[in-house]
Amino acid sequence: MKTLYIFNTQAKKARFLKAKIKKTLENMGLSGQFAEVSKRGEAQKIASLALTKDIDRVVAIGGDGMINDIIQVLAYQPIEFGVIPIGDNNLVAHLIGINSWMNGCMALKNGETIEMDLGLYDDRYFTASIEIEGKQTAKKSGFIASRLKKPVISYYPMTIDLKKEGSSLHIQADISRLTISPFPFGGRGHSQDFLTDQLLHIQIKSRPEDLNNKKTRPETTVVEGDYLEISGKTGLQIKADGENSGKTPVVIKVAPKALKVLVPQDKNATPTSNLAQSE
Amino acid sequence: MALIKKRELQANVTHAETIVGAGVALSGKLEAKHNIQINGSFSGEIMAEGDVVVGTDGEVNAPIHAKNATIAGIVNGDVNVVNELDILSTGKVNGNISAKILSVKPGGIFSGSSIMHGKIEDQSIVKPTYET
Repeated sequence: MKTLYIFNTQAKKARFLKAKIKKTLENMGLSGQFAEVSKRGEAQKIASLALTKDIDRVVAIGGDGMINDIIQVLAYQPIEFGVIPIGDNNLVAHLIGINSWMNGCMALKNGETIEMDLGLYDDRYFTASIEIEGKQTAKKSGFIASRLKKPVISYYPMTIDLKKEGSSLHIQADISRLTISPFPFGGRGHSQDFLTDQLLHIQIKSRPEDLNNKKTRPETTVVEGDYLEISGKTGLQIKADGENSGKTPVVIKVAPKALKVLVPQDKNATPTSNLAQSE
Repeated sequence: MALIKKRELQANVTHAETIVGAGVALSGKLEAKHNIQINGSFSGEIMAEGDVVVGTDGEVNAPIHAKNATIAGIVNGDVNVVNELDILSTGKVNGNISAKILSVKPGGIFSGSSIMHGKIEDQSIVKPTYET
């Protein structure tokens, strides 16, 4: 099996783990070519080369940003994708049941391949989530007013048109935060069912009913579909897998079984999808 | 008593996979294989293979088809359930209903005609009913 390892030298733990990871892979009998990247976009170029060089497996040694770069190339390609997480949050790794860099190495050795769903927006894929902030806090102008008066909080009105087989929904709400994921919120596991339900899961945190009560939490709406259009307030920042990636309005679809990803075989691992609880 | 009712309702909420929060307006056709909880407003049609719960702040202007339904808010539309329909003390249903078991708590309002269908398979479920 021909493997290409793409190592992000700028990842949080890169300096400390580079030699350790190489040694561990060597001890496991996992050979391959190593390529190092240090800038956004380089990983995507290197992964593109893998398509022309009969590479069977591409392994990302880095964080969510680099993974997002690589999946743009590997979606719907006959190449396995492995992850050794050494980034800040490692959301994607947690989703597929990889809780540490060692766990990632083990998955390369003994794991199984699952065809997982991805999300798709503006011709770009995402794995973990898309987040849109609809809440804006503006401080009062002036030296005294800015310190003594309460900041003005506004919630942008948004319209979401959601489609699913048999369902068609039109949603209107003043949004605090909108999160869209190809995986169920609060779900656990890296099973075929969890990673391939072929639906987008949408969580809408909307304006609290009583704005004067500090203890009031945003209202939560949870729906699902396979296609959604977000309109209403334009120009709101979209974060895909934690990276700034465009502005509203946007159309988001599910890309079913788009990525052949290596997951650990150990079913007792307890990965978590904490997207819903991240606020 | 009110506290117990609130707890009962909250217990149902935790099992809902589709939730419409208060202040959110939905319209269209909602089909789900699981449970639905509505605390905001909805108009169109609801078809659930699981249970439907309309919370105290919920307002539904739509026919509801579900396995079971608990109404603590307002429903303007027909309610067809396979098993049990519970109208709680804060609930109001303006429409015809079809169910195996109908339970209207004191204070709950039901305005329409009802069809009680089928046998009650589990005889241990005996609930008091109130005429309105």
